[in-house]
Amino acid sequence: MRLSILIASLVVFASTAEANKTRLDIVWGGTQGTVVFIHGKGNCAEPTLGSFDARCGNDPRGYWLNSTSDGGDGHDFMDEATIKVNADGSLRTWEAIAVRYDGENQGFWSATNDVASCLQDLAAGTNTTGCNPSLVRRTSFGIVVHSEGGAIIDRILSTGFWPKLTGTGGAILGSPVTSAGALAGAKSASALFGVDGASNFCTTLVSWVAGWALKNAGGQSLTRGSVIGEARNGLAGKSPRWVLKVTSSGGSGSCNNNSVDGIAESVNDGKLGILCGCVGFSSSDDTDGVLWQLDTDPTSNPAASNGGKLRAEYTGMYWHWVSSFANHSHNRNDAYVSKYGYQTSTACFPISPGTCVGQFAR
Amino acid sequence: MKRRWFVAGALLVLGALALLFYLLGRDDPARPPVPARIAAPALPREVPAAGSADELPTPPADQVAPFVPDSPPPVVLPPETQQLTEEFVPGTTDWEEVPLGDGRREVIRVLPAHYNVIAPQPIVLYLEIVDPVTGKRIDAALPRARIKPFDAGDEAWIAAAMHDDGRDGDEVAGDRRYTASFQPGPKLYGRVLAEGVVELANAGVRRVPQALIYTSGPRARLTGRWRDEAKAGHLYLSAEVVVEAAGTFTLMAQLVGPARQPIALVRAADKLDAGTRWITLRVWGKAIRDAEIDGPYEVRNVLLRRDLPERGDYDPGPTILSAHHTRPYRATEFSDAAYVEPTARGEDIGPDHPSQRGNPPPLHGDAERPSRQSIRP
Repeated sequence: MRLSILIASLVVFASTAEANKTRLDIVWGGTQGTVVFIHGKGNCAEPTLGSFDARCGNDPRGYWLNSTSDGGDGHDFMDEATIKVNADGSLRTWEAIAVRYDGENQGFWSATNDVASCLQDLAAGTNTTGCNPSLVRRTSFGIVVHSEGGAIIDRILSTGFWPKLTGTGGAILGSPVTSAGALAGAKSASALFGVDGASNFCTTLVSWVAGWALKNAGGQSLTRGSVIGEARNGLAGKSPRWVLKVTSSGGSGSCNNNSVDGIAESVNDGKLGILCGCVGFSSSDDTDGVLWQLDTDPTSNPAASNGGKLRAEYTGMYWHWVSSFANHSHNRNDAYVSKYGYQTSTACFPISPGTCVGQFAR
Repeated sequence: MKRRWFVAGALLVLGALALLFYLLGRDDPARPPVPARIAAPALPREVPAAGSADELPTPPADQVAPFVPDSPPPVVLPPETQQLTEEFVPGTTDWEEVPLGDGRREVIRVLPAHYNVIAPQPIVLYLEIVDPVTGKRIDAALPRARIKPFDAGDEAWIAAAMHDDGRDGDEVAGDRRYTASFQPGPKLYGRVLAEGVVELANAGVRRVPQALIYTSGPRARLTGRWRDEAKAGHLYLSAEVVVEAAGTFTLMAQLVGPARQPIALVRAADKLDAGTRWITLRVWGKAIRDAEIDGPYEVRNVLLRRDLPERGDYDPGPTILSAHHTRPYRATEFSDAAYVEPTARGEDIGPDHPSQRGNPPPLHGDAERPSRQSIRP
């Protein structure tokens, strides 16, 4: 008997030990409902594992801020995306909840399992994953994601593995928004795989690429071959509900905005521009995901109209919703808010994607 | 005299510098530095011309003008039926392709022969170096490959030389498509990371990643027996399955017309006990009706997989390219009714619900929202 209990305990331990830590935080309050934000590739949850990013690991807002440390003005995508102005000037607000996970030390399929399990805890008011110790319960919520978050929400929707989230009466409402979602993998993940000192073909980049780029399980899982393989097996690209895509202008525009605008976030602008020059870019759909950005991307609504290009294995519902001029980094942290990003009761500004999410993604 | 020339020269240099700084900064003093250009690597495709600081294009008008984004149209098909615009083959993937190196226009690319490898089939990897302009392959120096479990450390790599001799999985000798073949056994079951590797004389080693699934299969198999019937406006396709061990299974298939016209992707998930069972796909009638394609239909590109939802993962089986031909239905036999999603919601529990009074407060108060400053009625 004791032996069976021990074995059962070990089995439970082993199964829970597979999951990496997730965290859930209520960042902004609101009265109109709840929106959950899922960040992109980064370890924002596991301080004991590699590539832990203290900026998001120690601050639930961190990933979504136009960081002042990069020369930004501190604007907050989560805030911008959960506020809406009425015609009389009054405001409506939504509650913003951040879910953080480890997107560095595991494949995106495992990260998806972690995030989905945490979302199920949120929907049920439970804490089976450890992400919800306060037993916060929200039986319905919208979803907004960036970058790898796109691959994650796409897998949740495409697989149907979590019917309490996506089935009839499931907790996830409406059409999730993917800002620069890596829905079809990332060319940069492949190109930078071999970047490790002597083998680096972009020899001037080693010093920062080593820390910033992609050579880990998370990056390797998001290569084009991996994500397309999953899509052909039916586990990606099969969303049965519309995913609203915020994309970029494509080609070099997605790397450094063609340097057309003076947004004070020079660190990321510079890195992105150099990286694009290194791995190569074009205005064709082969550039998709070069920086976790689907530019003129291959996921499309089934009729291949409304902008996007077509990949046969993406039979799901992907709406080319807003084509933003913001590059991959800016798409996340809305660096353009201070310059263009005001919203009115009747319109948004695509150069600052958060304003569109706030005004129209309901 | 010399002193006068020196002063004049210094003034000239200072003036030129002042003019340069003025030109660089006149449009927008806050503009960040233009990303530094590294020594130009070979770009595999056409690269948009980068303007100089004084030739910067203006943002597209639609990016700085307010607008209302279009909403998508209503969803008319259920989750298990999706419109198919082109066939695709489960168990395969695309080439991974990266630039070969500095000053080279060629790309190195790697592909697994199969993304789903069902043991004891070997893991086969292809590598080639292609000139994108001519489309021709060129010789690769010392190509090799290696594989390991996806999450394992570097000590787990299994390496092999790649060859172009028409043997051991290499399809054509001397075609400059290099091949490596592995039969690693159960120790590699699961997700596998693969690499194609070449060495360049002046630039060292190039590695290109790929991914695949190595599995013993779903422990269930399709027998090849199928049934089809039109019922209640939809087409039902049932496949016989022999299940070795009970579990949850997903069957995915593509419906095409008599001339291989793509019509629909259909899926069904079911829990099946061990034994001989049937699993049924429903092709929503509107998908066929709207395609305006009469039968007989062909059921193609069929994949049966064992789902492991507790891990968010699965074990796929082999892909069956052509599985069944239906009777000669007419498209008009099927309903054109749009799918209506059931609305079965329970009690909505949000932050204001009495049960949530014990929630921690938001990390930031509403008055702190910075976007309040950027709202314009």
